[in-house]
Amino acid sequence: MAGILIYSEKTNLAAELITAAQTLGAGAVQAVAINDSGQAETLAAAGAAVYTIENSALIPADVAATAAALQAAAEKLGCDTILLASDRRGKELAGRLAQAMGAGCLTDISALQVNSSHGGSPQGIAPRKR
Amino acid sequence: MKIVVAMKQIPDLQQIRIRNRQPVFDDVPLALGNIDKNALEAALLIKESQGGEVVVLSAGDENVEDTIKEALAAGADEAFLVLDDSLNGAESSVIAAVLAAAIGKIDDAGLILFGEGSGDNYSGQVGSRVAEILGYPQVGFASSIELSGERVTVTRSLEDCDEVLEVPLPAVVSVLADINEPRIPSVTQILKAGKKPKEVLELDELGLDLPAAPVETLSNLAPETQRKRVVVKTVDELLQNLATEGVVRR
Repeated sequence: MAGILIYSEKTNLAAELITAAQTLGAGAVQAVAINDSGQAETLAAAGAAVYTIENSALIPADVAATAAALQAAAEKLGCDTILLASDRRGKELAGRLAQAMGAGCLTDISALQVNSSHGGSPQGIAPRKR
Repeated sequence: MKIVVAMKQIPDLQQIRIRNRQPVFDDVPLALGNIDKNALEAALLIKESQGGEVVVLSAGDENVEDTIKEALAAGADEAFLVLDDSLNGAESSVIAAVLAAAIGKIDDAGLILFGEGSGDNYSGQVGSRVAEILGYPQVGFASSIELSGERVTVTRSLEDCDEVLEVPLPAVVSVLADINEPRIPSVTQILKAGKKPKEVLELDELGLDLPAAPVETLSNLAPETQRKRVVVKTVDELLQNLATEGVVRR
């Protein structure tokens, strides 16, 4: 696994994702804050290298633009795993970003680990409601 | 304008049994996902108020031809089906590629509706993937949809707020399960459903170079249940235990 990129517009969720990424013990943990320098400070304190994207046209409601920005950030920072919050915004973003990156997408994950026998690919457990 | 509703054929979840923590699919009938029916209902309501045609779109094995009749009976005008045995239970990126290619073959497809998640996996990815492939704007988790000319206004319900968004058509919108109450077709509608037009393509006819599935399901297990193994000898004792557990009142 190369770097892990973290994003959520909600600071508390992004901080939780940083903690989850750190427990994986695989790859540098980097976070993106979009138009929110206040969030950047908190995430840096949580232990991630934080990069801020400043662009007033980039609003969270625009899934396509946010996915494009995160894709560009992941490529630039050398991240092959992206952790997003499992809230509605995150779920919507996840599918679009995965498609743009030609990547797999695991949703509603309650446990995450790195599978060393599969080339360091992420492995998750997803409880499904019936 | 055509409103395309993507619908997934899934096993009837109420009839799946669990044995040794594994789902048993033997003799389980196939059905359309419940949230997909909400998407269909949303499309039918738009059609009834503003006109247009409703096309239901599905990809799966040959049973889809039969399963989709429920949607046609409910009021869809036409079905567009892509058939191949490999599509049953296929990974989200594969289904998204197939659906996007199929949408490209439907003339004047303006609004593409999905349920917020499928009835079986509920991963909610396919709509987002299709939007990305087609380069369309998307709005997820819609609690209301209003068409106005070449634009659609959607109220999106998030955990802590509602957003009202307007996007140009064509667009992909996924609807919430509680956006409406799907109608139940009458017997007459069910009988007429078989006569409605269906365009059926084999997967090969789409000419797709399908992606290798990037996600591998390693296991699919029901949660472990811990039985208490309490043995009772009388009905009174049983009731006492149930009352203690809060299952019944005494």
